[in-house]
Amino acid sequence: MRLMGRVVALLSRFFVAMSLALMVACGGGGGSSQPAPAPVDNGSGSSGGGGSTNPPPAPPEPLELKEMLGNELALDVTRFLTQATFGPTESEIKALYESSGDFETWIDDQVAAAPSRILEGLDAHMQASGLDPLNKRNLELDWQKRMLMSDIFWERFVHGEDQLRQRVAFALSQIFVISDLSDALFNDARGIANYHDIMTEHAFGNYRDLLEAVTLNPMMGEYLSMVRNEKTDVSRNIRPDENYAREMMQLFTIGLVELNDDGAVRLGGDGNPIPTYDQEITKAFASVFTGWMYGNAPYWYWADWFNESTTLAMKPFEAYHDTETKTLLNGEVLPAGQTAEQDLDAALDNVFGHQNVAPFVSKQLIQRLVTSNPSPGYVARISAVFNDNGSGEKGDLEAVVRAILLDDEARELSPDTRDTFGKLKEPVLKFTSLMRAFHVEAFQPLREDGSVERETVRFFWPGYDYGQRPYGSPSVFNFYRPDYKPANAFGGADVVSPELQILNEKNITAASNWGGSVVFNSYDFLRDGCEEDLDFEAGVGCLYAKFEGEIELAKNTDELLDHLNVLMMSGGMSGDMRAVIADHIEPFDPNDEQQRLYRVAEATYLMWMSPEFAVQR
Amino acid sequence: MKDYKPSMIGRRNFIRRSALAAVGSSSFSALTTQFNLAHAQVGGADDYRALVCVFLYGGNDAFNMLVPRSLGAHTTYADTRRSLAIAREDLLPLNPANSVPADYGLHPQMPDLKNLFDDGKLSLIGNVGTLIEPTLQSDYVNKRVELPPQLFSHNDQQNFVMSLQSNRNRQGWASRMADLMLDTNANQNLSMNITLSGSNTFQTGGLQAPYAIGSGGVNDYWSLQPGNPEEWSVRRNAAYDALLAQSQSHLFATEFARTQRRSIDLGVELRQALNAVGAPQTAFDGSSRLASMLRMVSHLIAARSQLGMKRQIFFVGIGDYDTHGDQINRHPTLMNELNHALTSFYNVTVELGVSDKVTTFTASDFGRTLTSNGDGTDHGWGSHQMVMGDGVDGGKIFGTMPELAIGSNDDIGEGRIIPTTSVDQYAATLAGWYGLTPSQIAEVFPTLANFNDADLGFMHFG
Repeated sequence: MRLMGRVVALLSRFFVAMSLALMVACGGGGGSSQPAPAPVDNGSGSSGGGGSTNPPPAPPEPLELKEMLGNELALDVTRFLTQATFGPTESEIKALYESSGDFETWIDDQVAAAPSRILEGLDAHMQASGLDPLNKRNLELDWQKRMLMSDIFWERFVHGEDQLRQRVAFALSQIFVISDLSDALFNDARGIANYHDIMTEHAFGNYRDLLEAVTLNPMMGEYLSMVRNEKTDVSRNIRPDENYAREMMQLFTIGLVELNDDGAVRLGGDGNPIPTYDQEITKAFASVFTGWMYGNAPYWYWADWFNESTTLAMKPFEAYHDTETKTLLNGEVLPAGQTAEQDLDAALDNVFGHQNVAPFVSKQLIQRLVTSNPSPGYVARISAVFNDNGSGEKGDLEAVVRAILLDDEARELSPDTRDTFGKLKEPVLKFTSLMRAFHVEAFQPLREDGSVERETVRFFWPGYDYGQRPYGSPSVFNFYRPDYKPANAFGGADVVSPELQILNEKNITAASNWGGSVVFNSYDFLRDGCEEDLDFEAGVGCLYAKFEGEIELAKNTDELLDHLNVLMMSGGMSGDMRAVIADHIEPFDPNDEQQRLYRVAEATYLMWMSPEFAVQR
Repeated sequence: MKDYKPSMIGRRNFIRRSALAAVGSSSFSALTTQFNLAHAQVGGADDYRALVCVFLYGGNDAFNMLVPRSLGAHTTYADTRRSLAIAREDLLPLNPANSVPADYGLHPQMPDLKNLFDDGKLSLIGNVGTLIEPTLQSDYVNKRVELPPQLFSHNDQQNFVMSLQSNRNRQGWASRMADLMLDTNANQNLSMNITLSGSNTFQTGGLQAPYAIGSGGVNDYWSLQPGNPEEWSVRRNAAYDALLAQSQSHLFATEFARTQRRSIDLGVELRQALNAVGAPQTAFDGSSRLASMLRMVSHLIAARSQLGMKRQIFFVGIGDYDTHGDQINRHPTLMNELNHALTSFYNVTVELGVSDKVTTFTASDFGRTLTSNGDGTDHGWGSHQMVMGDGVDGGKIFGTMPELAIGSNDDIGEGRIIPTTSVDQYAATLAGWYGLTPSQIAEVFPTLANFNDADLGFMHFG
């Protein structure tokens, strides 16, 4: 019962935060001005922009994508969708364009949209596959459960309506990292799915609440060994486990060294960075995090687990909690004799109160959504929103995400940083953008006898191959570090590129192959070969791009390339690149439908593979 | 276009569940790109040396890998470690060829490595760790010495072990070694550094990026098939080559184009060479990730003359060593994997006739605390390492073994042990065997000068 009370308390805190955030958002508290790119050639005279305090602008005349090249509003809309979703689609581009690029309202709608749940989907999917989701004994089926979980992730990322929420949740999952690559999370697909649902639920909530939900989550408990963490016992010569304490500070909240609000490292009097914590503070937090065990554990040394062990928040066992005083950050002392829950609340408040949290988290979210190298001013503006959403609340992620996406630096490319702005596209985002642009899903057998088939996005093994999958990072340090910059790279320019850390020969070959297979499986004769081979054990479906309007557009090379340029590259394709692709597809007969498909596929493949597409600008 | 009917090779092999285990790379019979024969046999077959770094990500608990066996020392160890201690009678006794102040035993899951030790093919280096200058307990307590940045942090300590540099703009020591010896290899396209585990600081930052390959070998580009003479492929490759050749204003696009170009070109060359020599015969445990990676290293070594390589550095990383919890079950599994994979790898170097030309060594983020947190250990500092190969002065324990009592002069708290041998010394000894001159060694390892022995003596020279 205590536990239920706790969950209810957490939930109500979440809803209060949410409604506060909504009120603030409606008041326009984004911390940055909304650019108002005027449509160039539709003659509507609309002022664009979408500040909800303005009178509603006259909507611009609808345009086809192929007509949008050179239209600043349209191209800003596609850039925005590249930053805020798993990739633009024709219908989203048109809708947002016709709203005059009303990004505020679009974000409002996304915040209001029901979160799509992974666990719910996984349970149904497992049942359809003949797997009992709650039978933990089928350990040998671990890989199948993970494969089925992967189906649901890809379905949500590619086809989910709650695009911004999922994109932010995916970003958060790269800060609060857990991974099934560790044997600590073996056979825990349901727990991982539920963990992602926590990211989703809090994506527009408060960072402090998310931190608490993560801290008490049993998957994080297993991954960073906070579950069963015991107080000091001199007779057994044991002391608290430092794992969660250390990584929580280093990776989830404050980092190793003190930061200014603009993300710059602060230097001490000796000219060196100032450490945020030392071993004594680590030990103090380690003591704080003692006494927690599965939410359905009957007793502390319970060596078993079932069902909700992996999904319920952990619960305290006071006898195993360290009740000594603890000296935390900034010298704050927790008094002796507090309960596990009191200590944990106070300690999370302590770390959340540190001034590093805002720049540390804000900068990483900017890097995941917009650019690897935000200016100090951009980081400072988002930090300010993180620290105060306008109503005095710190950690309001909705306000933070809104400010990141609507900041001038995100919306307007500066000539000064043209050559470094943006980011190398993460492999997952490269694939989702292809799949969203061309409606990818395919029937997939769900049982070994093939008796149940379902349309899904089975893309499980490829992630191992090209080096990135949701919840599949090599360690708690994610797929890449936010400050990754090999020595001597970029001709000495002072820039970082996290995603470059996983761009290597092995991964780039695999990504090229899986992208190619999605594009060229659009040919019957290749898809047939794939489908002959397809069975339950196949870790990847015969996914193929469903080219629709493109086939007709392919009668005219220019129209096809204009369309693809807007859809895939925000209209940014260079003339040189376009000339190569145009020359390449010219020989295919535009009057023959099959040859038109070849035109579309060849052009799409070359664009998707191009160095220019590799960068989200 | 009449004859346009592209194929999609490779996929069929991939989509089976077995795909996660090592599979041979698919070959394309119509591959017409001619292998550059000038690469073969440069410098003769004899002049070859390779270093293989086996990196134990997470911080290996080497205090349970090499354990004192003498009664008194084992009692101290067991009293410190309690439920994590390995019983004295379970240890595999070692009889070092050099004089060591106490008896030591190897982890019970390492019988084959014990045999290699007994046969003089493997040695252990005691209490190696990240240091900038010799550090005593009093130095540490009174902050009298410079220390590596962020002790106990995984990524910072990994970066330091791999680069031996404290600055942000790091270059790995394998990369620095390669920069100095670049001319040794006839093949200037393939990097001297090859990684089986993707990005790592050890090999990064120099003139050549490391070449990344998976344990299944090199995949063809299914939708490009460079070398396929069919028109669709020739045309598609030509168009893509043109895109890659275009100059990019964006720095990241440039980096992407460079990586893709290198990958396509080297993929063709490597597949050809690997297929030409065939995989070595020595059996490896197919279910072990480490074994799969080392097996591919051996295949690459087998193709060394075809590839025109005389000096190579391989990086093989394996995770899950961060045993904060459930150590009693997890660590023996890891020791078992290490035992089988390293032994098979040694055997395959014998099969290839290069057991004196290939030196394998372990490294890790840090050691672990001697004390237990109940069911595991936390981030420590100094730790033991292994070196293996006929080039090693084998069957010995080098370095200074620490005391394993809490509060000893080696302990800075909870059994975090101050290293008595620096990674610089360990690395420089390997670099000397690899062929760097003393002045090159001084250049690559600038802080080596802070320590007494620039060569720990665990490698045979000449």
